[in-house]
Amino acid sequence: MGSHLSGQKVRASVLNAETMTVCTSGSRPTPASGQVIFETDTQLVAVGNGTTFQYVPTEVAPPVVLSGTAASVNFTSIPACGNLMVVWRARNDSANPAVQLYVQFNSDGGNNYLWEINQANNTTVAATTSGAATTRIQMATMTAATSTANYFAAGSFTIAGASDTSAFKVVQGTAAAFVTATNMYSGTYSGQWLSTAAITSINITPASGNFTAGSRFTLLGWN
Amino acid sequence: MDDDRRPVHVTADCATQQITFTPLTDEEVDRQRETERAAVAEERARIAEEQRLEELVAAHPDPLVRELARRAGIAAAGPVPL
Repeated sequence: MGSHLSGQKVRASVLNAETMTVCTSGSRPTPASGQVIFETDTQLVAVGNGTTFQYVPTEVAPPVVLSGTAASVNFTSIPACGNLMVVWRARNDSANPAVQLYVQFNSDGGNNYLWEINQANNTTVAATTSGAATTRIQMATMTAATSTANYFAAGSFTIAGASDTSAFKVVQGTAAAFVTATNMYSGTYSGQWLSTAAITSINITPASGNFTAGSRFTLLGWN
Repeated sequence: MDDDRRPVHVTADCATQQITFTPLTDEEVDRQRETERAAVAEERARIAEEQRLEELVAAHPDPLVRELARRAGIAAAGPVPL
C-alpha cells in the first residue's frame, strides 16, 4: 500500500489499486492494475491486472488443526470454485504401521467412485485400482500407531473443475508416509467421482481408527 | 467411553467459517472398534504370511530359487503395499 500525506487527494484508480474491494462474483468492479477484491459469495480473492482479475489460491474454510483425535474431517458449504486443493499432514491411531486415507464428496456413500494409485513401498512399486465403482477414493497411505514416534504422513490433492456441472469430478494428488527409518510409502493417487454435481463438501476419513493430534487439513480454492 | 476422550467428527464450514466438533455416537464407537479389530487381525495375518514365505524361501536348498525370491521381493523385502 502506498504512503500518502495527511489531506492529500488520491485518484480513484490509485485508491482502488491500494485497497481491498469487497464485492460478489457477479458485481466485480472494472479491474484496476493491482486492485485486490474479495468475493463474499465465493470467499475467493483476486488481483486485477488492468484487464481482468487473476484469482489467488485462498483458504476458503478455517484450517483444521487437531488437538485431539478425530474420526473424520469434513469441509462443508464449499462455495463455487473452479479449483479446490486440500493440503494435509496426518497420523492415525489404529494399531497398524500404516492405513489408507479416504475421500468422499457431498456425503455420497454410494458405489460412485473409481480410483487408481501408483504407490511405492520401499523399493517395490505397485499399481492398484478400485476395480469397479466403490464407496470412496483412496487418496493416500498414512502413518499409523505402530510407526516411529513423531513420524507423520503428508500430501495434497486437487480437484480441477470442482464446481463445473458438465463433467464428472477427477481428483489427483501425491502423498508420502514414513513408518520407520526403513519402511516408507510414497505415490500418486487419483480418483473420479461419478457425478456432475458441484462439489459442496469433502469428507476425509482413515480406513480405521482416528486422525491423531497434530494432524492438519487446509482447504484452498480459486477459479 | 469417557466423553472427554471420545473421538469427534470435525466440520469446517466455509459459509460460517466455524469449526464444530461432534462426538461419535455409541454406535459409531462400536463400529470403529470392530473395524480396528478387523484391521489388526488383517495386519497380523499379513505379517504371518510374510514370515511363512520368508521361511520357505530361506529353507529352500536351491540358491537360484532363493535369489529369484529375493528379486521378487518375497524374502526380506519389508511389508507389502497396502
